[in-house]
Amino acid sequence: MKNRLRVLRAERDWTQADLAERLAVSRQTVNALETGKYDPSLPLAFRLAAVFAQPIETIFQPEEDLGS
Amino acid sequence: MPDALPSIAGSLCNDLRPTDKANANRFAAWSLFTAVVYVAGTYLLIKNLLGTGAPAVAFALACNLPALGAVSAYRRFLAEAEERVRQIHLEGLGYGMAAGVIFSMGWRLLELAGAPRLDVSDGVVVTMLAWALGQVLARRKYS
Repeated sequence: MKNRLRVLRAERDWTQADLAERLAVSRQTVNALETGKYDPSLPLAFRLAAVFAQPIETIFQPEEDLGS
Repeated sequence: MPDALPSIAGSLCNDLRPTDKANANRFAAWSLFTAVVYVAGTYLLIKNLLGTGAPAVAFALACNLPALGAVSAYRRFLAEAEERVRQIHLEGLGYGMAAGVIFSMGWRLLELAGAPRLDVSDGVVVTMLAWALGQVLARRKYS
């Protein structure tokens, strides 16, 4: 699963710790999400969508575009 | 988020949220207490200081009560942990369960083939070691 978390976070000038606090997770979890080592659960994905005020599908994309 | 809470488990818990670290500390404290009670209980029973019969049996059963506290603390840790930490620990439990079952069942066959007879607690040691190793592997996978 690819994601745009690092870009979205940088656009807001947030540190990983800032985002972690907003999501109520650890900084290491934010790092694992950004590097693609951990895919979030649906509830956490919805929290990310709410924090960035964007639909989930604009934040996360499958590695291969299954729709094409 | 300031986090000055020290961890009994040291650097293994440095990346936990304060809530998770407190729960991990609670589990570690119960585990240490359980270990001390088992060692003390084993000593008293081996030395036959409590005699035999009902008092000794009641004492042996009572020595397991702290373990129930440790299990309860670990269940609470898992229930309240953030999802990545929970995933790491569940994978660790999977490794421990798999290794414990395979070792315990497999060694019975080896005993029939002439291998030395082991104590039932040896399977527990293998389970615990695999549980710890599984957590390390899962931690590397998700970090």
